[in-house]
Amino acid sequence: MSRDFDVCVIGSGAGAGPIIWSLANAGYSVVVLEKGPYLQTKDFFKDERYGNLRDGYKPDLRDEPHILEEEDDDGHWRARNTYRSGTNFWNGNLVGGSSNFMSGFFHRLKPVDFHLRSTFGAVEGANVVDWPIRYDDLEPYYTKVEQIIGVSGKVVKHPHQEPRSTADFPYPPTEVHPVAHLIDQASEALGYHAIPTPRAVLPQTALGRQGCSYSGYCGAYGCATGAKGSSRAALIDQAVATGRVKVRPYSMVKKIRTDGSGKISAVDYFNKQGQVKQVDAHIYVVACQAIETARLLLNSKGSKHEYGLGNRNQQIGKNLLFAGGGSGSGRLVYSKMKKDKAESLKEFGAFVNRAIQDWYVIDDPDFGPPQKGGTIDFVHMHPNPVVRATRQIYGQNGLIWGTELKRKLERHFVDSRYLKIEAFCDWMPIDDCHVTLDANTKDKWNLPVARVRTGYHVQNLQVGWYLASRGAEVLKKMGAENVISFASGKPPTNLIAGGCRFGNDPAASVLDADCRSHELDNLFVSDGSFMPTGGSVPYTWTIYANSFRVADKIIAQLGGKKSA
Amino acid sequence: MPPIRIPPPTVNLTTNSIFMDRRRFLFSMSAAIAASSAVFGGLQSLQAAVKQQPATIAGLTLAQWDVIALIQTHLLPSEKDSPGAKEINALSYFQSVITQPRHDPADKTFLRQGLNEIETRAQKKWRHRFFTLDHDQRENILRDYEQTRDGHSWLVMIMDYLMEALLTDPLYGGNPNGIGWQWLQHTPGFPRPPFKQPALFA
Repeated sequence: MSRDFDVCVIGSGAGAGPIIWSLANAGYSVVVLEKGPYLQTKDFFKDERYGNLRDGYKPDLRDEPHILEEEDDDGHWRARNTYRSGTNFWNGNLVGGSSNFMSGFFHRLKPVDFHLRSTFGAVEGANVVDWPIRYDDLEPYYTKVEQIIGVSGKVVKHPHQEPRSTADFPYPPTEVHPVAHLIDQASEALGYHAIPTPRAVLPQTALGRQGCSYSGYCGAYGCATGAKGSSRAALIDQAVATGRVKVRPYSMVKKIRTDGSGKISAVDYFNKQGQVKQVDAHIYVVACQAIETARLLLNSKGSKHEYGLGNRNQQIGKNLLFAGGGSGSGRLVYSKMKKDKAESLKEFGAFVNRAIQDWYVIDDPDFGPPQKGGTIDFVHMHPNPVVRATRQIYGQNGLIWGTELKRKLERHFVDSRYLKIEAFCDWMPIDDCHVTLDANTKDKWNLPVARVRTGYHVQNLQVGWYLASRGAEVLKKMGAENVISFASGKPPTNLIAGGCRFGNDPAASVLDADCRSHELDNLFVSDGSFMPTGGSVPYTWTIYANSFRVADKIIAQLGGKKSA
Repeated sequence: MPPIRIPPPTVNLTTNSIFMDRRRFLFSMSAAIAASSAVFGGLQSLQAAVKQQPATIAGLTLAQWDVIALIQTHLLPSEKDSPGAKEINALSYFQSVITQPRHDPADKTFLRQGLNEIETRAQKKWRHRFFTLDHDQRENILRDYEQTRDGHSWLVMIMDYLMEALLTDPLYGGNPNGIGWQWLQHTPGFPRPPFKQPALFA
């Protein structure tokens, strides 16, 4: 049967790029439907107002909101339109998706992450399960990401170093700020192991991309040199160069259409002019980031799919994951240190690049039985000046203004280097964290929007507190002032996974071990939706690695790599 | 401490850029003209120009805009070694923001309501227009207003845009010649935007 393309990929972020790249290089034709524009590296600037204050790379929430359900103090679920709530689940609608704006802190999962249930047992109130694959299944693909997308770093011995098939990273670490050495010294004095944080940032020209320019504005900004390994810069641009990939920007998928037998017949999408178009393919891959992937599948009802596409057992949208954890910060005061030290810490542009994984598994009798812990990353306070300045207007007794505000701004900007800790722990999968369709609210295309319930498990907070307080110890040892650490149940909206978990039991999962729908053999989901548990690190490296793995499954299903 | 390096705005007028269709080119040119006017004209000349216009901006009278300017100066005063609202073009910056076509119209209503409330409080407490009060009397009125939920939100809105005028790229009309960045020894990123970026999802 003739089809327009071999593969149709919906979305173009980290879950899509490896599929697009791999299929194109295996000789197959690919169409990519991306709801945002196709920007190039030269189109990105360090413009806080456009990109961050006004969310220029995200749709207007008046046109495309979500409905957020949060639990109030009385245990009732309150629903609010995100245009009013101050929460934004969009993370970048453009080719490459949110990987354009990632910080690129790249940690692999560890073997224990693949069998949490078997290792630690059930957690009351949580739906923790083992993965249907093991670390060894994914390890070759982590390595592939290092080489093809470009990961820089240095392997050092520490208690939770995961097994590797190569001795070290293919690229040396990016330049580090002098504050990293203070972290090393403080950690060593405390008996902790500070390790270089691997980064999806090239320190030098390689892979057809320029190295990092150390502008100091990395996370939340599109990379202006191509050093950051976004799905677009590292994969899609190269895939397009093969001539076998057609990217269709500004293409908002309306639904995946099925015929009377229940098989996928085509994809309906709106083009930039708002006209409905159709495209068909032999294989369909959905990678719209977890919330929108669930929404699209739920919106793709058919005569044989009354609950949504591949949703006979009504598992789609369940067990949504965010990144659990804690946070903290400390202030190094220039005027209280020797001049040469202060001058060196005033350096701007290089990275901190330090992490501690000593408590990836917490074996601390004071904390309870052995349980899953996580990762502590040390980072600069984000340099965005307006965001930082705006925080200074708040005082303990009300707003601060006038000359008092000006002196506070001077202390903050001129006399201080702030260091942050970001602690990542598993976000427990629970019944009250999920995606459904909202019955009343539609977007500008008249499609039901996603309704997102963001309940959390108390263990997120406990582990988050534990990790953040350990990180705070390091900050204090460094001599930082105003050290704070805390954990929150509020979900970080930039790290989202789950909702279409993979597994061997069709009654309890959406996808099989290859991330193929249990019900449709030509439907795959390749973004972070597949994850039944998320690990205690940012998800992106795992999403990339799994997408390369799924790509190999698709290539095999299509008959293998085509000869040149 | 070495002087803050402020990279020049990026010159990027390649014809194959996605940003450079005709409509967007015209938009960027008008933006550049507007920005340079704000930078070189200064607050006083801009206010004078505004006063010559019979139409109001965002539904506020010119007298009301004078009050906004006064409040901005109260919240971020000028000093010998550091810029205040006047030096950062805070008024014209705020006017340009609040009159953006997609800006939430509720903000304009809220702005007017807040001004009316401040004026009412000034008349009631001091029996004078807010504009004629001395510094301590103004402080008293604003602190009282801050104690209300709306007053707190209103003042936060004014201050948020003051911080934007202080520290966003000069392209947008505030922070002329990077005066805010230099005061706070802040190093901006590079490449800087060559023009106001177009709306991607209009």
